[in-house]
Amino acid sequence: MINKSKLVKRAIKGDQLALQQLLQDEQGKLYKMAFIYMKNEDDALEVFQQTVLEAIESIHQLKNPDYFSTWLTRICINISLQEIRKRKKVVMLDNLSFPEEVEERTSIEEQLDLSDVLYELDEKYKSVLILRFYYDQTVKQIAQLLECPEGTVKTNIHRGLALLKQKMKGAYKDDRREKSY
Amino acid sequence: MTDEKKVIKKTMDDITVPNQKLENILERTFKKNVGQRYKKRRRTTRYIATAALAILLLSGTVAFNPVMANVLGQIPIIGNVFSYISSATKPEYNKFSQLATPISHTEESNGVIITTDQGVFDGTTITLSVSIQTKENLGDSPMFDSIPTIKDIPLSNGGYNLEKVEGFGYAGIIQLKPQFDESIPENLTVIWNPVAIEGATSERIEGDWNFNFNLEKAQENIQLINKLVSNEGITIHVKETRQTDLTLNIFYQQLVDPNLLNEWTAVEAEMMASDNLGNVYEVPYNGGFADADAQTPEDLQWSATIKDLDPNATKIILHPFATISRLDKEPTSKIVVFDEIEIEL
Repeated sequence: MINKSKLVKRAIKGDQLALQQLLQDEQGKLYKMAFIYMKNEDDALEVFQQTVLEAIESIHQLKNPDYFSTWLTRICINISLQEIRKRKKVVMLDNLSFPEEVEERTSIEEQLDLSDVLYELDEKYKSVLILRFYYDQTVKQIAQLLECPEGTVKTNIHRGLALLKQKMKGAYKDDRREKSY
Repeated sequence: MTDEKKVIKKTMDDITVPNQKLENILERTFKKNVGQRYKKRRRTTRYIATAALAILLLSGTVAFNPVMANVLGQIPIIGNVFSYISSATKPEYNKFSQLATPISHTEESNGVIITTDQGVFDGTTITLSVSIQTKENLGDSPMFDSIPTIKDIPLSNGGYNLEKVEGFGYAGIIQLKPQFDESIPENLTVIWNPVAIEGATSERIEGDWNFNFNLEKAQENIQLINKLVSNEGITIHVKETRQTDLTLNIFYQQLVDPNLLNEWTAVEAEMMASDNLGNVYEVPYNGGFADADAQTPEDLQWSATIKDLDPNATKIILHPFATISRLDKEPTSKIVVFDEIEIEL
């Protein structure tokens, strides 16, 4: 069994079979990351495809094999964000609507049914929360991955958690009223 | 764990991963599979997913009759890899043995001698002959841990084919297709530092072989063609040919009616060829890309190569065809055939 570090070194040197194996090992993680941004299977598959192509084209530029996963995740996030930006430009006004009113939940079980609250978060909060609490990355690792200061990561984690909490408690309702004034 | 963190975990856990689809995408992206292609977008140019970096590992298992085995046994390998391969399995490399540039770079490590024997750079493809002297049995088709690279130029495609040579080891051919962004250089530097050779099962020889050599571009005769054929909303524009002593490279573009892409996702134009003497040739493409200002993302520019052109042929007839595919819903594809294009040589 060849270890991951050796495989990454081989991939950097041009061994496409090694790169394919590495990408296969990471495919679930990449797909989930893409899905949380794109919110549907077809678009998440398209992001995955583009991530694979970008990895093939630029693996030779990876300097430190230890950062392979970080580098790959960054590609996936960047492509997802590019796609979202592209699509935001063509959203028709008719499609814009307020979210349905959500009754306040009393138990965490009921709240967990509202798993789409994570999807509704702004991308910058979504990224840090998933990396921090699902993939157990440190603040420093996230800062390296997203290429931003550690302070920004900490702030976004804090704000993201607060927003998530707010949404879980049915804050949509109050937010909507405020906007209508 | 706080409620917010539970929500994050549950949301991520609830995402069903379509592993088979992801594996299919990986397979399609790494290996050429006409008509099964996902799109790739680039800011400046767009290289074809299926052609990009496909590694072609062809089986080296060949059944020789006793006479052929005897003939092959008389051919020394070092300095004659192209001859050996053309006599054994690939006659299209016959002329390469006489016209390729000698490299004769030998490296020994861990008891295994690797030699890069000869090489050709025809303007689109680098073709290298290589041999491995070893007493170890690495099966019929061993693999290097890495393929050669070109200094300062990324590869769009590459592959190799090694054949077992009784009493010697292995001999084969490596092909590299560089991704030239602008002009094609007059010479280039090949760098190759394999650190292992692996057999099909568990055999593996580790070592440290280092190759670094220059190859000059072969003299080529450029002929402007500028001929177009159209069918079903697709136009094939054959722009020019570049002929060397060993290869005929054909440069062409496919132009796609945007309306066609309302129904179909991908278009991939290829061609077969014949000559005025009745010979028929395969014309494998080297890769394609789309310019940033292309009208549709499928307006791709291609180059393709004929290797074993009959020196007595005075005319080549191209037989273009295109595979159009739908990839997003129910994957399906169909072939569109075009009129012939004749080229005087």
